Amino acid sequence: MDLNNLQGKIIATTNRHLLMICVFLFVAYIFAQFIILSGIGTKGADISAARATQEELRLENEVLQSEIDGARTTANLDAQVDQLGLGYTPIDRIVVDYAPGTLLSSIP
Amino acid sequence: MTEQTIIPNKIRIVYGLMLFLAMLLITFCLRWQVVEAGRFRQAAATRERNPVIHSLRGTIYAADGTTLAYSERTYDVFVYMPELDFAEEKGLQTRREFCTKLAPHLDTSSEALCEKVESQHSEGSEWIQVAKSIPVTKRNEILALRRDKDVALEAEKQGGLQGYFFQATSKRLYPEGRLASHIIGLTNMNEYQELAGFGGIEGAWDGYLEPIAGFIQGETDALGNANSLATDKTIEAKRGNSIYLTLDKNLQQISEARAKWATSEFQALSASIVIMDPKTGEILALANYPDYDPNLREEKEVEAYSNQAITDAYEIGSVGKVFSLAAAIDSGSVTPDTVVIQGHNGCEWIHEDLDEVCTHDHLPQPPLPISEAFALSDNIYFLRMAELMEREHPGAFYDYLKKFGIGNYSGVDMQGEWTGFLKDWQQWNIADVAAYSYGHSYQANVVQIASGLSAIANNGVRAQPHIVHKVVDNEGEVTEFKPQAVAEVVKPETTAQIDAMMNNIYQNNIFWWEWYYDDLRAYPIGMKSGTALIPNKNGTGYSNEINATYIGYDQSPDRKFVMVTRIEEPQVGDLAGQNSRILWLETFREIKDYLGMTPQ
Repeated sequence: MDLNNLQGKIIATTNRHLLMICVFLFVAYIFAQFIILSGIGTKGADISAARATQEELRLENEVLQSEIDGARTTANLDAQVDQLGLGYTPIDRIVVDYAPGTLLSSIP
Repeated sequence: MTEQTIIPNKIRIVYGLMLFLAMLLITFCLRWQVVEAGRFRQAAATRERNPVIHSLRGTIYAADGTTLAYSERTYDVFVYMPELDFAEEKGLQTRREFCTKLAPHLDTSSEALCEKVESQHSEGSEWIQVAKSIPVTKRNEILALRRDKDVALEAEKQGGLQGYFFQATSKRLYPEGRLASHIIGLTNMNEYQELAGFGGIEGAWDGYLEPIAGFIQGETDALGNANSLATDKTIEAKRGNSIYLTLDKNLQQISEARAKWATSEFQALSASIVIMDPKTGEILALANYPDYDPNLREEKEVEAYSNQAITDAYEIGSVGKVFSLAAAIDSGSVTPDTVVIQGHNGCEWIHEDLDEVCTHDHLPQPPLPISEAFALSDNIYFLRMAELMEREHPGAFYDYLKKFGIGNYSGVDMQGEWTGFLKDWQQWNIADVAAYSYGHSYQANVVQIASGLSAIANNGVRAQPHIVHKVVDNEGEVTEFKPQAVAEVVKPETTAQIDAMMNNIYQNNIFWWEWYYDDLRAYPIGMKSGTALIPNKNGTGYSNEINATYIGYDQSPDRKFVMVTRIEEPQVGDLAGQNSRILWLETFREIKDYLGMTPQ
């Protein structure tokens, strides 16, 4: 009988402990979700803003590249020459080198 | 009730409660994940966002790095009716406010905009296009529009106008207008509503020039913000590769001006000029007239859009004698001093079933060395020379023509090349040998002629004609196309002999009364003419119209250029010497100083 009582008490105590642990874990899980969701899950607006900024930078890059390409034309160079008051010097002879990036040069 | 009974009862109650909660959980899980799964899956799908990231088509540059073709970002503007209606229902904005604010940026009136939206919506349209190809600056102005309702709020809290969307498009620009229009080609929408290249570099290199779209894979929440807990992936778009040409804009401008001048001066159907570096095969200039402005597309005739220097294969006439003579000398059949026949009467029968073959002037000739027959462009001497070559070296003439590039595509890197047919050697008859000897019966385009001539100018080695110098991808990696030898056509000793004979023609082709060309005599140039009747389009035989061709090249040690001019159906002059020669000499006069040529 004593042994049964002891067993019963041990089981009851263990069950109480297990119950408390379950409740604690459950509450901890809920809090962890709150923390994670509030920390990461609320960043959606920031991510969208960053993507919008990225899109704007991408677009700006495209616009700049197009402006550069548009500037690299004979008409634009002529306009720059006029604007800066430069003139074309008469050239007797030009050596043409078709290597990439090589500029024309005049030879006296 | 004993203590032992109370404790199990409490446990039973707790267990029962937990069981109830578990059953409740299972029931709801079954409901959300099984019964109503479809509805939630549909709702989740609307949260998925895979917006496409667009980029621009690659740029085409001339040899000096200036831009020949480039793209600009533009946008089409659409009104989305459900969003417009939603904003009005929620009292965020009114229809009148929407039209009044948006219309000025679309270069229309508020009433016209509203009317368009209403009429298309009444026909059932949800997406209504209200503007096409607006620039980025206008797009940014539209994005900055704010609702009247929010005017009292701080700037960052004000909401933008709702109900419109932008679709990214692009506009292709050709800043040099008509310059090199045939070389560059143009772009247009293909059957898939995608921008594609047609003709020239735009067509041939379309795969390199077209951009690769990217996309963002992700989810959004109910407010439209990114779902930070969902997996997302961004694949960046890649701009099209940039292409650098071998084209020299100065030579191109001169050539185009001269081609236009020649068409008018000689009342011709068209004119073409090709200038090539014989050492590398690089095309320095390629001009056709008529031409077009790819920005305007105002020309209605198909011929204006045709790059005739590569699309038109035609019988080249006596310029082919250069290839025949080089073949005969190189094969050892003749030397420049060989007398192949003891003269002729101006015309000769070669076969009873064929018409007689005549020289251009029908004049009898005494026994002549082949070098003099070449200077006189004597068809009879040349057909006898070719017969001799065939007897002594069967099949050699065919091989040489093939190595000169006749009967094969040149492989030039522009879209639209067409070439002529060279009969297989085993099927040659006496008429073919005769006709081929003086540049008839086979066809070639102007680039092929220039390529064949470049073998003579380049010590017998023919380089692959090309106009693309290098491709640069969007990360800056450069792929350069090096000159490529296609064939060792003839020996250097042969070209030296051809040089002397063609220089002799050049000297004798500037006549004593042409004092305005006196300064050109001093330049080391080799030259040959070619006049060929044009076959009738609708039957057998030939018309009275001609193709007048002139070929010439720099014979200085630098070998800077070969140039071919062609005038189609000139009404002034019956022979190439009376029109195409003038075009060649006038063009040469303008380019010689630019190329740094010095008189001897």
